[in-house]
Amino acid sequence: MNPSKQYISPLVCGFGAAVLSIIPGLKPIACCLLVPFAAFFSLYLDQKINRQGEAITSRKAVTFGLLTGLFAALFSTAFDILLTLVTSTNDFVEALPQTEALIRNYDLGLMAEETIKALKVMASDIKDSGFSGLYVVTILFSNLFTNTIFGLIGGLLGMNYLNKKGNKL
Amino acid sequence: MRYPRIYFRFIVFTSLLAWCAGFTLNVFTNGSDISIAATPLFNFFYDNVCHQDNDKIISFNGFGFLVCARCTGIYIGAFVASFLLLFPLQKKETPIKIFSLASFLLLTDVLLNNLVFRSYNKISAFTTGIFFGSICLIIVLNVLEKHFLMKAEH
Repeated sequence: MNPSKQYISPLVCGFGAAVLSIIPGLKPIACCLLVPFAAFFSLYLDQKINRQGEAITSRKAVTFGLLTGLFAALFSTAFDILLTLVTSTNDFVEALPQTEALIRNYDLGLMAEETIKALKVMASDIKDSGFSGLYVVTILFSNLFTNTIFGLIGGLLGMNYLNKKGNKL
Repeated sequence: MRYPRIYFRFIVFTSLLAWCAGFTLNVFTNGSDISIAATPLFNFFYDNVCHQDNDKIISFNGFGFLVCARCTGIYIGAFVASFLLLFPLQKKETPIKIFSLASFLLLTDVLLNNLVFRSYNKISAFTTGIFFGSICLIIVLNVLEKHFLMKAEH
């Protein structure tokens, strides 16, 4: 098989998960199951495309799960950046006054003041130009960390399910 | 073989403990200063894995978990299962039927709570989440142990 085509299904499913995650109204239903399901579906698609009758190895499940999570993280970060760039606002900017009030309410001293200062710099950058480097780095790392772990879990569950189902048939 | 498995399970248990501590800190410390200060950062982090809809969050004494009732159930279920798996029991694979049943119950509850009933039932979301989370943890741990520990042994 062409190695470049081997990872098409994680790319497609990761992209799909990222697209679905920005659709309003869908996230409350899909919640944390979106990326694991995408990883599961990428294994299923790969089996269908390549018409392999053999069992999925754990190595393949781990690779596909991690890749699906990685692609989902990269695409969802890209979509977030794009939407922020167009609208010059996002959930973070809108929630900042409440966050600030909450932190100030507890009088936490210098550390809290510095945190508020950093948050305000991010918010003003977003309002002015629609882009903040610090915000991008924060969401990218946060997306990468959670999506790869959830993708891995989805891949392993998918392998278990598809292999056992394959044995039955 | 036995020792690495225990170590591996302990790492999984502590990781899940840290993950669960993050979203329950607010409730268990009764809104301590540190938890209030950390909430914006944690909210930002858990936002990736949960919609954090206020109507679907379980609260105690005015302080809520940072994830919805279903996610709370899934993570708590996985955490409890990881704790129980620290004690050596007879090894038995989880049948696919139990996983299918857990998935079916969870999905049915998602559909009923979001599309059929008007009011969200936190108890059913939490309960089906616990069942699903614990089964998933057992399966994932089983596969990881087979993959990594058997490889190390050979």
